[in-house]
Amino acid sequence: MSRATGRRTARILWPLMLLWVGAVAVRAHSELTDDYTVEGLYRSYHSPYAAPLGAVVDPRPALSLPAEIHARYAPDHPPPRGPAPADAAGWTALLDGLGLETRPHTADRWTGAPPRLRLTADGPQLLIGLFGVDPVALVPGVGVVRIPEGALPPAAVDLALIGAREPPW
Amino acid sequence: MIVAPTHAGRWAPALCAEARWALAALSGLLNGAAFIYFGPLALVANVPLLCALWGARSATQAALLGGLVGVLGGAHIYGILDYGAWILVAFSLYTGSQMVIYGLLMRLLWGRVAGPAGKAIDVALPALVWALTEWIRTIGPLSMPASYVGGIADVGWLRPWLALAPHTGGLGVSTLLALCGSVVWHLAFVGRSHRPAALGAAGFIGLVGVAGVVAPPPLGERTITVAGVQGGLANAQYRAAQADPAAMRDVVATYEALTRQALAARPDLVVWPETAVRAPVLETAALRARLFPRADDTSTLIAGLVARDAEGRGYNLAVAIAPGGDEIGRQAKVRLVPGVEAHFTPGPAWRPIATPAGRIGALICLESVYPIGARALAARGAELLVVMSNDAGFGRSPITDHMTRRAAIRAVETGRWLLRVGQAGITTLIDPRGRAHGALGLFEPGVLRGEARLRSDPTLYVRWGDWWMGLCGALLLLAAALALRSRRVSARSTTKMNQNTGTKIT
Repeated sequence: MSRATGRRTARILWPLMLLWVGAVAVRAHSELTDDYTVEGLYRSYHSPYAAPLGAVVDPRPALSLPAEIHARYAPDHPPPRGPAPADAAGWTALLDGLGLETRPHTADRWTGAPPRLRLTADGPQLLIGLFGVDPVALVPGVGVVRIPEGALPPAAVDLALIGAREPPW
Repeated sequence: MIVAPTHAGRWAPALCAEARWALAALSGLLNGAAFIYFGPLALVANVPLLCALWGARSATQAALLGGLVGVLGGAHIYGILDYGAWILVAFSLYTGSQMVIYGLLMRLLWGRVAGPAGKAIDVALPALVWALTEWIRTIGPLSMPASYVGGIADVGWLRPWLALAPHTGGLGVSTLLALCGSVVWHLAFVGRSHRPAALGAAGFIGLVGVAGVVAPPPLGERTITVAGVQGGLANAQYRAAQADPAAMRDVVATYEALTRQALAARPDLVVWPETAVRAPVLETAALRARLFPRADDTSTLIAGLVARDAEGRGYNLAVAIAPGGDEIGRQAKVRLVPGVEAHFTPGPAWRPIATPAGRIGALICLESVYPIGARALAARGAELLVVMSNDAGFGRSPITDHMTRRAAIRAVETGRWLLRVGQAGITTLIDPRGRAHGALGLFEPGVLRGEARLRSDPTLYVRWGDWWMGLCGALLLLAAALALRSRRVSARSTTKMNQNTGTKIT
């Protein structure tokens, strides 16, 4: 092979190889980061994503707070009916109906229990525990959100659900 | 001074640096593609590199050409990015360092010996040096899946050559695949001088294939029924389960339902994947009652669990549970993933677990990438291997496929049936000939059932271990000795000739 042929070969190979590298990079990005849905035995799982409120670790667009509160803390009671309450009085009535005692949460620190129902400007959210030091919240229409410590939005109403416990598994 | 090979081929003398770098890069991409996309590319992946190395200007150039191949090939294992970009960078540099050795050894030994022995050495050398680099990849702290044999385990028309693995280990098959590339290169780019040696090597490769067809590895004796339980969950679901008890309840309920489904068919053995349920199952009676075989079941369960000892040390475990729920043995993961599993304590050694179904050798995830664990288990009497894995972190990348093929090599090397159970997938049953008997795909919950056979006699590889690498190493040393002798003889004759002609050497 002459030097000229070698150079010609190289000049054909480099663009082709760059194309290959680009194709592999695009494929890798897609395989590792694209949204996906896993069809589990009991429900569909969607890929996590970052939202302004925090990391949505378990996206559940159909999440309903009354249904979650019933399933987690009062499964022996009849499920609440109708749409989610629109105000504090409605939530208090719903919790009373499920036999859940409440009191205003006033402490600065929270150890992850008992769970708290907070009514914020963006809607209600239920804090179910801590992941490390970050509060974990159920947000209707969004799912399970890990909110960075100290980043909880202000709440007009913050109710601690006294005695509410859910089994760990 | 440029030391030209003693029999420079048609390409070598005029190949410019630009062409050499392009060819080495092409080899790197072909090797990467062979590792993860299309195994048969291994047959020719190093041909461009051989073109680039032939008559390389200096040892430095040869080392860098080899290093480029290793880095580009290693970068194709991008599926490990979820565990940290540093692991991919480290792995690429690691494979690069091995290929630096490849380039250097080829520069030092290739084309240095005259005569028929020299031609044979030239043809064998690329395969011998490749074997060395692959062997190094199995012993280093960052060793990861990247072998020729791992790419071809599921390629039907290459399966006869897998029959070499019970004798030499997978390394012998990789050596043959690398030899194919060398044969192609020598026949295509070197003159007639090397044709007899190259054709002889091709004949040897053919004979091995014929032997593989005529005498395939035995399939074993006693038949048992096995079932693999695949939850099909992604790592994201396990992370959610750490934050939300409801998600953990989903995980437990999934394994409860699938395990009951598996037990209902009354197989001899049911196997979970690695760390299937990350709750304190062994310490919690309610969980044991839900998840473990009951007294009226007939199966032994090998459960992938995490547990702590009295001193608080955590272990990644395979725990054998007899009908009735009693633990009858356990195996802690010995080879932990560097950095990623720093919170675990490694187990002391690989030992089979005696169960009513037979002596079961358990490998956990990355351990199936290396030959050492499966070999130790088979040598200590394991009659069946199980690989419990969690490859969910690889996403939908082809690394899970590659890990599964690597596990298949462990089955062939040890002559054992192997049930691989993946948390997200792939779950499959592999026989000692490397054939898969059914499979559950990625992120697909389900139960894989099958019949496996137990085998207790050790293969040659199990008995002798890395003897093939020893042979390759001895041949490399022989090549080095002959090259050194040739160089001395050549230097003496040059001096003598110069003295006769009165030439002054500066």
